Amino acid sequence: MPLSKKELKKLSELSCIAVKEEEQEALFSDLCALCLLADRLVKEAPAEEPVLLDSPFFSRADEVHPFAHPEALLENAPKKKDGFLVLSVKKEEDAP
Amino acid sequence: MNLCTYSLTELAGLLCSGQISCLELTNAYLERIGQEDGSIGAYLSVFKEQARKRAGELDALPADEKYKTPLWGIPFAAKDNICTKDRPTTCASRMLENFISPYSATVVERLYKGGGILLGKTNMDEFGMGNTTENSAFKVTRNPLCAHRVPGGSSGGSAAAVASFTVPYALGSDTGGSVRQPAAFCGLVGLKPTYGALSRYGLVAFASSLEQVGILTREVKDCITVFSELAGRDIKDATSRDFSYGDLFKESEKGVKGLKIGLPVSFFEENMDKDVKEAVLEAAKSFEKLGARVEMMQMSLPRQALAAYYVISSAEASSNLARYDGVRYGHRSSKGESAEQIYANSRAEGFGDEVKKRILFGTYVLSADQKDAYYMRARRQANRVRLEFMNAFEEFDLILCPTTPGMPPYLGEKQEHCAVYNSDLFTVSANLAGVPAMSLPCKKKVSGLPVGFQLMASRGREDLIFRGALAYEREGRDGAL
Repeated sequence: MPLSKKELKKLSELSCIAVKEEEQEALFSDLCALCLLADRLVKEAPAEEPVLLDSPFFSRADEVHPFAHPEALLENAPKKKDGFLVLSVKKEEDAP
Repeated sequence: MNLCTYSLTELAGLLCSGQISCLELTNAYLERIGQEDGSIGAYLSVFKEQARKRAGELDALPADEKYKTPLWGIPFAAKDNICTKDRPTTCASRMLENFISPYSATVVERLYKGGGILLGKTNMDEFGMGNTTENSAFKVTRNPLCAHRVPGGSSGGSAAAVASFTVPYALGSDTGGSVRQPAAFCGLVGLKPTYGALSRYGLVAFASSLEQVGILTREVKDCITVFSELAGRDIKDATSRDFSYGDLFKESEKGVKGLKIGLPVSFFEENMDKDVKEAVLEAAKSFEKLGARVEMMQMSLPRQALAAYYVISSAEASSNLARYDGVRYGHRSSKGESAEQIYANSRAEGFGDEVKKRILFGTYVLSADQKDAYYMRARRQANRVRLEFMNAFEEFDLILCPTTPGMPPYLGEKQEHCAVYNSDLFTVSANLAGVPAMSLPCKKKVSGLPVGFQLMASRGREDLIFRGALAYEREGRDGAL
């Protein structure tokens, strides 16, 4: 796993999480375990694209939600009014 | 009579016939919580007064407005990452310690409309990340069947609440097995529905493409009752849809005669407890005796799915949890002079170790240098798993496999990193494929503790799972063999 402590520092900056000096060792070891697990993908899983389904909704998993059903997507597509997208914002429901 | 041990069907009958009132039932469960929960720790908050008030209001309704659903007047609990209006929703995190939700999740709304009474919010691993419930920032939850062991996770509080008879059913969430694994450890029925079958609106996001609200009950019929009330399209969740399930009670009575059940060889070849393996294979034999055709089948190794799961879920978590910066949401640190320092300190103080680790890992796999090696490869692997399940369900009606590779760990037991993640080995595939899966207790126990096995079906075919589950449960109860 090509993860160095220098990268850990960079990652903590990118993730906007302050990591104390004394926490670094444990976090680094934990992260390496996750990375080792992920390395199985690199070593064992075939790298080529799997045979895809007919539907265009399954053709680019990274662009289209892989489970979004075409009907649901169309039904939920933002509506246009006078050429503008109509978006509704409900402030009281603004929660995580 | 001890009301707390009754099934939902029995409770509905007692309420409908006027033998008990909603308030009596609510009081019985609150009393039970008072007796049991001090030692188990399933709940993060219990709403005694509000629950009693609601029960009283339901009792006072005119007769023609009562008993509109089979869940009318019956209490329930919800995992603390499911929003409940004017109640705390902490996700078991210091980050949301003081958060009071301004709205309710659609699943909770549907239960309220059906006459449900919210008793409390249950403990969990922080933001759903973990499988022992030990990652909660607030308390430890014990397995009601063996106090020295964990109840599983991340919906461990919901499972412990149902298993300790302090509530008849509870809602959880399942991102990689978080409902099924605690169900297996606590001897319960745990359902992860098809992706999109239940609304996710109001479920605090961890890994949006994988998670679903799940149901924990003691009996299969109870699970069907709750699922029937909750399923259906929700305009507030674009990924939800209506699968037109029809009458699931009627369907579930059809039994398994003629159904073809596949046992994935690769799952049984993984490193697992031999007693667990035996118990699950014995369950498979029961299905054969009940009239199903049970055959071994080929599927890829579940450990590849596990790797893909951890990459994708961490990537999505790093994005979903970016909003908790102490300014928009969550705990705000008093330390720091610049905005960046306040963000970084707020997140460092608010998140626990496991959450921090997953965010960092998610950031790593999404970074420009690593995206192709990890994230894109994981997405391809997820597609592969999905296709594999689709092909499998062309030939088989159900897939049967273990829920967990081993027994519940002891509280505080130090596990190897990989062993911790391996607990999800058999459950993550269903999340990657978006298919429904249920964990059921095997009839055979190991050292007096329950062992779970899973039934999976193709998307929108919960009816097949219910058929299999009910037949197996009845066969056990009636001793039909």
